[in-house]
Amino acid sequence: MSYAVRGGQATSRLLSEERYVPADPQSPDKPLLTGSSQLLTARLHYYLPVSRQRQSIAERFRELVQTWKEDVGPLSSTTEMAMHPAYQQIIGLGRDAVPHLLRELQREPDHWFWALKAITGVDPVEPRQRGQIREMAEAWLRWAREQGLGG
Amino acid sequence: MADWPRFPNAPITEALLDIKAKLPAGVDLTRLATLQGAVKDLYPARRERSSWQGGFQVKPGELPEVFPPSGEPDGYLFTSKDGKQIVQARLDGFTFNRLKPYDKWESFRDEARQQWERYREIATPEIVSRVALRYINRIEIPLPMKDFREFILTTPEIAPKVPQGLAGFFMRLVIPDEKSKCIAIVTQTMEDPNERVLPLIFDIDVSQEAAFHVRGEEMWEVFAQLREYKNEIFFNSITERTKELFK
Repeated sequence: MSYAVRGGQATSRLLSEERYVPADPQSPDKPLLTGSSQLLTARLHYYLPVSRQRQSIAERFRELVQTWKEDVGPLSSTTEMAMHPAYQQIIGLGRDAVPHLLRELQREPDHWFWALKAITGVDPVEPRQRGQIREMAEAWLRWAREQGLGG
Repeated sequence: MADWPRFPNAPITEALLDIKAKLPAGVDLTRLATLQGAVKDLYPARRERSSWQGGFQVKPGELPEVFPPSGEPDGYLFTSKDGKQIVQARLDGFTFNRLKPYDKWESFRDEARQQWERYREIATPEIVSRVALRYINRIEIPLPMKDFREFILTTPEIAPKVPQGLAGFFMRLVIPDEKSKCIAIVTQTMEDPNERVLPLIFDIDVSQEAAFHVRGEEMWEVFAQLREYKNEIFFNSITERTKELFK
């Protein structure tokens, strides 16, 4: 087995570790990434265990929404819904949760108004809209557009 | 089987039992999601799992081509109430994760096996192609310390005439075992030290690739061999001084 860098100067400059990669003269078109692939493999392997992963806000939000939806029934009171631990944890995510709450509101209007109000400190819902989920959702999405938050 | 010592303050931060399996063509994520009904009492939280792929490719005479990371859902993670145990049901297999505190092999294996049986009933795998055990140890080496060899016998070696201080390292060894036909991937690295301790990560991943029957005892016998090999590596790598840290 021979060890060499194949390809042009740019390749060897970009991937200096390639000098330790076995050359394969039988497959000149084969990508020259064996060495780098090993590094990538090592990196993926290292970060695979759960204890080395950091859950993103999006993942955490999705998990909490799912738990909340599964636990609270349609007949639950607004207070029961808002006091559910998963709902409280969503509020605990703070301002990072707002874009996700707005997207969720757009996708499937539900009782996210309490959380939005608790996090942002504003309430764009007019008194006549209270109790009308679609109208309340629209009020929040309008507010989001005005704030440049999309929605 | 050797009689390995058990430590009250074991350094295991995570243990994983992994089974790579081939599922029939008709089994999809919707089917895997139904596992929640079977495990919900002990593993109430469900989260989608994605396999992330990305990277770059270099060909002779061409500019490097970058593939941005892309995620495809490939299964679910079911987490226990205390967050210490996770069952991963994927389209390519099953993993059972146990986070610190780790009790003992027998309870870890039995719980993993029980959850595998549930996965097997729902995912109906055709064959198992690889089994693996992985133990991640975080050894807190007390400072000041002169030489890693006071605590661990496999260490990065610096040429004698080069300054011997080490601010960081990442070492990965792939060690086949002819006797058991297993392969160990041993990863050692260090985390940032504080004034008191230097955390050394000693990660041992042992596996065997073969075709196992999904219902057979054989793969569980191989898991026992994998555990032996893992323990041989661990106990032959640490010093008596290190063992004292775990008592």
